[in-house]
Amino acid sequence: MKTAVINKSASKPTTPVANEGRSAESETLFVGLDWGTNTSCLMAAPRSSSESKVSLKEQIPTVVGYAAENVLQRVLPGDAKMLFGAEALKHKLYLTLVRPLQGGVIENQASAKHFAQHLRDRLNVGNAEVRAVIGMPASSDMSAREDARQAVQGVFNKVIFVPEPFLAALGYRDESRLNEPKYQDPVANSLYIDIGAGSTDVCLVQGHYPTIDDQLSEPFAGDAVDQIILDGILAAYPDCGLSLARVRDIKETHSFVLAQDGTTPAVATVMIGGKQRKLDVTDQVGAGCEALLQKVFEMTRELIARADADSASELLQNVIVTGGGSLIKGFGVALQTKLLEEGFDNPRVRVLGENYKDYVAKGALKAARQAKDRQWQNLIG
Amino acid sequence: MSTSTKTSAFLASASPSFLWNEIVRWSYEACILRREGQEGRVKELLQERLPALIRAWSERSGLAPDANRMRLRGLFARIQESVELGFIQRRLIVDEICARMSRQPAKTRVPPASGPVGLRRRVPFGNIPDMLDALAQAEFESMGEAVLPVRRTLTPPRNLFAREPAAQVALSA
Repeated sequence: MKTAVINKSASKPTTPVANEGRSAESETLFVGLDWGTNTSCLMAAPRSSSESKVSLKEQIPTVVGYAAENVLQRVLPGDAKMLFGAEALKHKLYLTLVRPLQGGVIENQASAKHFAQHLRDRLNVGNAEVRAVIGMPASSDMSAREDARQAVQGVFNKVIFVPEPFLAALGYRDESRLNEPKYQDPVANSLYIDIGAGSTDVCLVQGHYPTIDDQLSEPFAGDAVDQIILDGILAAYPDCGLSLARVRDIKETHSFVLAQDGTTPAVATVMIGGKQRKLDVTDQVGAGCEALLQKVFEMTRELIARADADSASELLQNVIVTGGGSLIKGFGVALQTKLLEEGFDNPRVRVLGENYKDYVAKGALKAARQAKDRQWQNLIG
Repeated sequence: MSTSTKTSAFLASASPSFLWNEIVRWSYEACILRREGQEGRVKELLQERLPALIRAWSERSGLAPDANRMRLRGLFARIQESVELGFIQRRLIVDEICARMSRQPAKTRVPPASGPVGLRRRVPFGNIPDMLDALAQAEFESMGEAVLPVRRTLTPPRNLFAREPAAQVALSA
């Protein structure tokens, strides 16, 4: 099956990545991809480059904008029929925006293919072979993998799908520091909490990759929080006409748990009937975030109980929160407090912060470099 | 009356053939779960359900303790062998189905299996190629489960346990 060729994408290609005195056409390129529901992170490096070399690193909002039939000429850059990522969001007034993924898995095959092709175009490597390691949610099934495989068929030459928590742990581990006495190896005995858009995954990483028994996954994460916030806001302000997309923006700006005081309310500015209005959404945002905190706490408690009793005290020192949900203000401290209140001894929760997307893509690139030739799945276009 | 008290009372009055049949059934389940990497559930079976069944059967089998032990050992060995063989046969069948599908001009999709694709065995963190092999194996097993659900295909053969006296009663019932 041939992938549709995008003739008119307005994005400018990036600098060629395979430019170390070799032909961009001939050098195989390794790609690490965190294909997220809201944002994707792409990292690339030529096959022959050193372990630490990254030739391209980009974060791209996972959205495709299709131009409406009647858009005036020169309104969209290059009169593009399709725009991607930030550019699509910028020109959303003239586009039909489609998000290819929902809950971390492909929801719209056509736009997913277009988006994947856009990622390939960003690499600017012509017909060179591109091998991609792609992160999948830990809870994804064979059907989700098959959808992803179809979306990248004809785009990448070879792929491997790996659960995101594995890649996050791989990416977070700094092998160059393993000999430092003070460096705490994050894969020796840790509990990873990955709060995505569609699911929350909690994994025990105790020197080995988590097995089915070492992980818990619940379909309760960022999207569910958005819905709780939206329901709350609509109950309080029935005429505000907010969409889920706008609620996501509000959440990303105002999300919090453990409100320290009442002096910093979450106030969202919305347009109602063409007039700007300020809404106090502190309670609604707080309720959504607290629900997520409670869910994560319950999952964490369950998985700690599964761990070997002798390893539990060290495990509690290494609770690592990653994913979009980790950006909720105060989340790490709040979870730590809840664990303490539950009677766990001296827990320590670390939040990976804004760079969390990089870790999955970085881990994917590490996996790509070490994968054997026979382990790559060929995608015949 | 608590659930465990009720269970104990039930086991104490159950017939040896019923108890034997339950031992066969849950031993099979434990072996399949182990192959699926679900050690938590295996542990539960091996530490709770099976010991209670074995205790109850041993008390009512009418055999000497050594004979009980020998019968149980023989049973477990045969179940393990049977489950291993079942997985090998399934692998061969699924391999063949996949190969035939890939030869067809219009590729037919293998029916998707539900549930996450997770590792079924422990792989040390430093070994990325081994992790990728284990993932591929898990993916294959998931696909196999969709094509040939192991619990449907791997039922205890009627004549496999025929030498066990209690089984004679249970299997011919």
